[in-house]
Amino acid sequence: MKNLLTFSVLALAALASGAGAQTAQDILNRVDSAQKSAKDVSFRLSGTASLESSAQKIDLTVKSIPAQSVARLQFLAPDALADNVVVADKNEVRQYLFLTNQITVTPVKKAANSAGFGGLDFTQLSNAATLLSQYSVKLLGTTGAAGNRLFQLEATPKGTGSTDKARVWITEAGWRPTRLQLVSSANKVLADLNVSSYKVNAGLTAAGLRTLPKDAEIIRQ
Amino acid sequence: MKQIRAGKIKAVALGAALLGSTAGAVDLDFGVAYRTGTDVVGAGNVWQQTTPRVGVSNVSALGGTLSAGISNRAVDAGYALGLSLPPLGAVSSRTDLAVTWQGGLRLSSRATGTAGPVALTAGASVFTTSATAVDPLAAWTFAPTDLRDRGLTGDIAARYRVNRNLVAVLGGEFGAQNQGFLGVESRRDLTRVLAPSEGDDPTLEPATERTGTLTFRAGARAGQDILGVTGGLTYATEAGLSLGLDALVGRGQTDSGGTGLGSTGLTYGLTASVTAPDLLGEGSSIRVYSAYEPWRTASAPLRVGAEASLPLGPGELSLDVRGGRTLGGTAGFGARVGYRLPLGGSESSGTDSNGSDSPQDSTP
Repeated sequence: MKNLLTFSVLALAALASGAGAQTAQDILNRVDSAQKSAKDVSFRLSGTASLESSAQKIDLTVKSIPAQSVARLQFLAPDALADNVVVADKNEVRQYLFLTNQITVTPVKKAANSAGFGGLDFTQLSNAATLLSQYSVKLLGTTGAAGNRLFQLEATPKGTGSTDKARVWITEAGWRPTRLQLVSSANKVLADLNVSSYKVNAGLTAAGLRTLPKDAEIIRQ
Repeated sequence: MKQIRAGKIKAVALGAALLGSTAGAVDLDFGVAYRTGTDVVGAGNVWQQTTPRVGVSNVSALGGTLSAGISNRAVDAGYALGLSLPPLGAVSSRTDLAVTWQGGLRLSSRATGTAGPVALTAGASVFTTSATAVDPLAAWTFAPTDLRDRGLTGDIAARYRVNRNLVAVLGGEFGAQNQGFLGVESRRDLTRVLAPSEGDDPTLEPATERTGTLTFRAGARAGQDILGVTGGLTYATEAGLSLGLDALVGRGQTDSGGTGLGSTGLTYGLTASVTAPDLLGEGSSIRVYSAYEPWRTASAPLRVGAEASLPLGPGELSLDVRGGRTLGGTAGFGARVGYRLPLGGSESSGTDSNGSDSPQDSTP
C-alpha cells in the first residue's frame, strides 16, 4: 500500500518540476510548464498491484489543488478499501473509513511521524518539487511519432537503501502521465496502473475536496 | 476589565499548551442542562434540576487528547488515544471517568480498530451510580443507556466487509441483558456516470459519481428476555441528508404501559432518525430521532430527541432537547444549551488559521 501511495504521489509529482538526469529533466520541465497554469488536477489510477503475492485490483481517484496544498484520494477498489477517502492539507490528514463510518483527524505533525505512509510525507502530495528531489529520475525510452511521443521515465528513491523503482509514462500530447509502474529490485512488476480521466482546471474547490460524509463519527487523534 | 478577561483566557490557553507536547487547538466547553421529572434527585428544586458544566477538551497531552469538566453533579475526565494509518485503517480508544459529588463513580472505555475489510469495537464500563446522576439527559439518548444504579457492562462488535456492498456484523452486549446479534448490511449506490476526458482508454469502465446510497439491514438478536429478527433501511444523499429506520420483532418484554410490570410476549422495537446538515447555515447539523424499545430491560423504552449544532462567532452552539419515558413509566424531558469555544492553534479544516482574529488576541 505504501507503494501504491508512492505511485499516486509520483503521478502528481510527474506533473511538476523535479531533479534528475538531463533528458528526463527536459521532459519534467515540459510537464511542469504545461501544469503551471493548472489550478487543480484530477485523475483516476486503475490497475493491479501485488499485495502479499496475490494480485489485487486497484482503483482510486486523486484530486489536488496544489496552490492550496489540498489533496484527496478516494478508493474505488479493492473492495476492502472502497469508498475510503484520505484528505490532506497543511494542517491535518482526514481519513474516512466506510466500514465504521468514522473520520479520523490527525494533525500533520503527528501523521508525518506515524507509519501510515511508510515515512512518506503525504502533505507533500501537492508539493512535487520537494517530492521529486527525493528521487533520481532518468529517461528509459521513447516511442511514437513526433508530436505524439511517449516517454518512459524511471525514478529511484535517493539514499533510502530501497531499490524499488517507479516507472512513469509521459505523453507529449498534453505532457501528462498515462501509466505508472512499480518494479521491485528483482524486476518484478509490483503494480501497474493506468492514468485516466485526467483533468486540469476542472473548477475543483478546496471545500469540495475536503467533503466527507457528514453523518460520520469524527475521531480526533 | 476586558483586558483582564483576555489575560485569563491567555493564561488558560498557555496552561493547556504547556500540558501538551504540541500546542494544538484547545476547546472550552460551557453547557447548561435542565430536566424535569420526579425521579430527579431533589426534584422540585430548580438548582437540582439544572446542571451547569464547564470543561476543556481537545487538549493534546500524553500522546493523545485529554478532556475534563466540572459540573454541580460531578467532575469528569476523558482520555483519547489513536493511531491513523491511511488508507488502510485506524485504531482509536477513549476512556472516561466521572465521579459525582456523592462519591458515585462511572468508568467507561471503548476501542475501535479498523484494518482493511475488518473492524472490531469493544467497550466496557463499570459504575456505582446511574448515568443520569452525571448527565441528566443520559436516559434519552438515541443509543440505549443502561440506567441501573450500579453494574458492569461490556459490548463487542465485529464488522467484516464481504465485498464492496456487503458487510457482515456479529456482536454481543453483556451486563443487564446479555444478548448477541448477527446480521448483514447490503448497500446499493445511487450513481451517475461522469463524462470521460479526451484521450482516455475507451475500454476502461467510465468513472462514476455517487449521488446517494440505500443500505438494507437484516439480522437476528437473541439473549436474555429477547429473541427477535431485525431489519432496517438507511437512505443517505451525498449532501449529507440521512434517514434511518430499524425494527425488531420477536419475543421479549412487552411495554409495561407505565405500571412497571412488563410481561413477556410478542414485542417489537422501532428506531428512526433523520440527520440533516447545513439546514441552519453552513456547518450546522440537525438530528431528530425516536426510539421505542420496550424489550430492553435496563433502558428507557421510549426516547425522543432533537439535537442541533451550528457555528456561532468563533465557536459552536449546540442545543439538545430530549425526552421520553422510563421503565417505571415516568415521563420527562430535558434540554441542554452548550457552547464550544476553540482557543488558539486552530487546526479545524475548512477554515484557515484564524490566529489574527481569535478572541484571545483582541485588545480593547
